[in-house]
Parts: sequence; structure tokens; C-alpha cells
Amino acid sequence: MNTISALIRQRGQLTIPAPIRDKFFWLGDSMAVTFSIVSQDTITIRPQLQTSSSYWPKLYSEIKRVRSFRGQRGNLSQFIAQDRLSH
Amino acid sequence: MTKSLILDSSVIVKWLNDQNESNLLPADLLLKNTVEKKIVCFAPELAKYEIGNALSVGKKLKPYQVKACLSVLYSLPITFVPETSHLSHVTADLVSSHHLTYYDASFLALTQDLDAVLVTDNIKHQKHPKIKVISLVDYQ
Repeated sequence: MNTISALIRQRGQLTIPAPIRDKFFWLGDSMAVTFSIVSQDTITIRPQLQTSSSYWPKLYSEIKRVRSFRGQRGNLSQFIAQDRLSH
Repeated sequence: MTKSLILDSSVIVKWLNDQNESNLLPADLLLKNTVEKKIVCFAPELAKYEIGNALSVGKKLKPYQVKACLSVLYSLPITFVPETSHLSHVTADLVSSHHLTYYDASFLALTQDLDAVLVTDNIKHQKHPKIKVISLVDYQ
């Protein structure tokens, strides 16, 4: 996990460090995000996807594309279940 | 209040693979309901490793294909939760009391901790008398 520290300023203002912003298009200027409390020491920030009209069509399109890949076996749900028993 | 669901890797992987997969319709319904904010989905970080392994070692996709799948995985509307000391202890207790693998139990532990419902396509190994678990085929 890449860890970068930052200080929270007055009124809870936090600047997301540039190396992190650069990795996620949805952390750009004027993008809406949602905060979720996961545990006492973990909060997640996720894109507020509905505000981006192009996000979901793009994701669906990508899902369709990667699902079209054909490999040596399918039924990966079964593979995962068996894999857990084989360790 | 929006319903919280924990997704097993056996469910998430169907959003990336349809080759010989069953129960694709309920899997797609889950995604639709997430998009429409009817539900909120979580999964342990472990899911990323299991799915990465299934795509590369199981399905034996080419590296560029695996990377494309992983990019989609990281874009999905799922909050991946790292294991904490507390969660690891809950998981260890479940392993001991119900003879589960640590992998199966980690999904149940998160479900219990978030007071959520686990949706799995691996119900045979993840049934629990006190934790809410539903089989993907029954999701509607």
C-alpha cells in the first residue's frame, strides 16, 4: 500500500496529495466524492459516480470488453472456491 | 437506509468473466442496484488477490488482458476493506468454531462486523447459522 501523510488544516480542510490525485481521474477539480466510515481508523473516499454522466457507460463498456476475453478455463467462481481449499 | 452487502470473490469475478459462469443475471442485477445506489457493496481486500489469481493462474489470460480486467476491478463500486487486528480475530474464531477456511471466514467476519449480508456463489462453504448469507442465485 502506498502511504502518504498529510495534515488536516482549519475547518477540516485536507489537500489530497498530488501523487494520489494523479492516479485517479475522479479526484480532479470539481469532482464530487463520498466519504464512508469503515472502522474507527479507516475512512474511504469514493467517486460520487452519478454526477459523472460518462462514468457508468464507460464502466459497462469496459466490463463487456473484459468479459469477452477467452482463456483456458472459465467458471472462475468455482476456481476461487477450489483454490481456497487447496492451500 | 441503504442496504450494505458483502460480496464474495465468487460474485465479483462474474463482473469480469462470463466464460462458463452461471448466475450472471443476478450478478448483473447486483451491479445495477449498486449503480442506482439501492445497495452499498463491500469486500475484504483479499478479494482482489483471489480474483487476480483466478484471472491469471486459473483462466490464464494474457498479461495485457489481466491488467485490463484488474483496471475494471479497481473501478467497480465496491469498498475494499483491509483486514484489521479485530477482523483477524473474528475470522480466527469463525475458522475455529465452524471449520471454515480462513479465506471463507474472512468474508463472514466482515459481514458480521458491518452487520451486513454476504452474497456468495460459494454457499456450500460459507453457510453460517448466525450470519446473514444468501446465495447469488437467490438474489433479487
